[in-house]
Amino acid sequence: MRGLLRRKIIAVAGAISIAGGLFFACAHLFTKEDSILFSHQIHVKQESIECAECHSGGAHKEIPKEAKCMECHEKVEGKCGQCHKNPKHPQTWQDTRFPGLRFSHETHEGVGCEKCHADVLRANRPSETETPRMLQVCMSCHRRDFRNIDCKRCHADLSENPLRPTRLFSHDADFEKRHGLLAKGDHRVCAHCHREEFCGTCHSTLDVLPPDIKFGEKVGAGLIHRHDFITRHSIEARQDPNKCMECHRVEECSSCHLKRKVGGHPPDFMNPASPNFHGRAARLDILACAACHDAGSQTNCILCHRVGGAGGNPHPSGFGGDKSHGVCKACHR
Amino acid sequence: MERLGALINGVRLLGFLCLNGFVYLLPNVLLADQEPVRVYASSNTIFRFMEVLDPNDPLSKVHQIPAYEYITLGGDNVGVQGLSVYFRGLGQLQVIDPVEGAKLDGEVLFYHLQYHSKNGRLKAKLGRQFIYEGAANNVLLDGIMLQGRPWVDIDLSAYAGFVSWPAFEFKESNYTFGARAAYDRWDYGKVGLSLGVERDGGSFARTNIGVDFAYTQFRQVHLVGNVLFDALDRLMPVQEAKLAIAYIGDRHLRVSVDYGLFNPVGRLPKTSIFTVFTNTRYHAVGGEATAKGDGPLSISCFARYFRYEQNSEDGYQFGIKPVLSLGYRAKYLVGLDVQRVKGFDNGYTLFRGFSSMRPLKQIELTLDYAEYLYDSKIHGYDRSHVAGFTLGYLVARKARLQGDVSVNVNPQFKQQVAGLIKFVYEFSTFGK
Repeated sequence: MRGLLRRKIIAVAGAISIAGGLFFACAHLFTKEDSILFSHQIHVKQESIECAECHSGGAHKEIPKEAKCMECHEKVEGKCGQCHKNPKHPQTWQDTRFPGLRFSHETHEGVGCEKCHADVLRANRPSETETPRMLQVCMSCHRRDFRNIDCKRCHADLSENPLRPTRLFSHDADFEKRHGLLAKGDHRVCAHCHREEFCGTCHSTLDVLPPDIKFGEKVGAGLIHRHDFITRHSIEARQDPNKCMECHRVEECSSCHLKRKVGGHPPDFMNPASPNFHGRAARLDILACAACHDAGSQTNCILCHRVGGAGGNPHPSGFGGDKSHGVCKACHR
Repeated sequence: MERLGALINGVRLLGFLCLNGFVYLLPNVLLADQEPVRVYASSNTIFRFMEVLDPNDPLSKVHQIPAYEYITLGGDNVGVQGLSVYFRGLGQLQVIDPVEGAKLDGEVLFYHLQYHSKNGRLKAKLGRQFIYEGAANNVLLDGIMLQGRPWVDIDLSAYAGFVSWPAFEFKESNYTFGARAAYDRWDYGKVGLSLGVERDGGSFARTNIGVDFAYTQFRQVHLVGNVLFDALDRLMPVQEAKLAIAYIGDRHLRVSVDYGLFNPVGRLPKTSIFTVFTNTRYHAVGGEATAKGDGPLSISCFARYFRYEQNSEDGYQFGIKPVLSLGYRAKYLVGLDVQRVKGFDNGYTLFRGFSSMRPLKQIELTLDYAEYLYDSKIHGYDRSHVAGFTLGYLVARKARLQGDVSVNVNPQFKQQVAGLIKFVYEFSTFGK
């Protein structure tokens, strides 16, 4: 029964994977997005048309509408392909400029268009990638602002900033594994784009949903707790316990183990003659006990293991201490 | 006791310095230019449905349908320049749960009132917050944190509060405080000295002295490390030491190597009766690398070796993840992930394949399949499988609707079919 079900699930998962792969390949082959076939090289360099002729406006130079093109060009039926890459599904040019950028073309008028838009003049058609790059273009004058972390001089809202300098702060591959190192080195680098509160999206010991559930769509990211982590957690916690304890407190282990009723004791757990005797189990693997019973001074061990208790005096012969240690205060208040 | 008294006096001195810094920086606050008010909010609604069963026991079938609502509310420059408020809470509704019964509860994950001067030289935060620098080492507390840079490149901070517990419960006897002083040049590096203290039930549960440092060369080579000492022990033993060197300057190649010495006792509260037993120190050494050519292929890999001082045991982990990204902004993404983990007493090998695509701007599809093979059986099972599929639809620029379905066959839950419907909405506005 179990084997049959497992085979069915694997078959379904395999079929979905293959169908998905085929779908991806077909979609890639047949999807053709429209783009405007416009050459700045021809218009500006060969025809010597001034930038302001098409890009009007003061502080925010506008992307010209189709009507502006029609002042010189004629709309000829069947020749849409001269300007549209996909004439069957023509689309208007999307203005992808970041609205949160405090930038005025008026203020920068003395700089000259070519200083920042050199790539556009070399290109045969406009694209998003030809917008001036912050590190190469803006930094040629604003390096001092960058070094002083005076980002708000230009960026109105850093928390939603898609113009992050990707060369330095790119989040590709397994960035999630590296981000702690970078944040510990200088969290202000992160603060260029992220608020400090953003850390709490994952780093909250009080949250009930792990990051991989909340961000299931981020399949390429190196998120921890992925998939069947509940099965693996004992392996990983024993391999690198400090990694767990960077975020989780020991009390979290006990609360979950109690809730799920995991880690029950065998019937002869209290029998000293039994190989399952709790004393032997505790000496072999006290962390397993601590998973449920580590409640600090409220631990149930001292209910029996105390002077006059059923478990006997826990102090070895000749024991002496200053009783100032926290463990002693569990009984010696 | 003398040592403890000296430590507390040290904290008082640092606190006094921070207070002086606050007074010194007050004129900066009053002379700040006006910034616009910003109000923002986000809502994250998640409906999960799970069918958990043991194929060997049909009566074990259990249905659970929990719903979660995450709400974030915040505002910047509200009333006073540089003053911001923040709240993030979670509500949980368990509609059907034959094990624990239907329930409705919630949690305040973060809340705080923060003042941040325009030039970044003064910060004060009151509320539930995460302190991660220095000896505090990622403590979540309900309290206050003050941070100031009274002199150029000198960073002083201090915090105090109750350790955060679920259900907004204050354990009055469980509180923490600490301070940090650092020489901090943001574009070169920093060296910090810190103290972190936690008291529980009238005893010192944790008292660490920390040294943290970072160095950056041309923003390409990063050296980051920290050392934690146990201040309660007369010998001041090292509880934790970490050192990592990374080359992250070139988008084509990123490499980091690290070494760590860890003692679980350093993290466990000293008020725990079990701390006397859990003294298995261990060393970890390893590294990670990511290589990306001009083409669509990128490969990341990692390897780490663990050496446990108890019985001279060892463990390791390594893995490789090639990813193919096609199209603008990784429109199509296909990847493989192979990992091998050998722990203290068990291990596993992972084989995983995943892909995602955005056929239209508004739609995102992902597929994920993973197979885990365990060295030793867990609950009688030596492997587990997970298959997942998600479909996301961007309703608007700030709103996203997503559906996930995953099928897990694993030793712990035996078999689980889980689904999820998620609606994310974000809103922000500027105003004078």
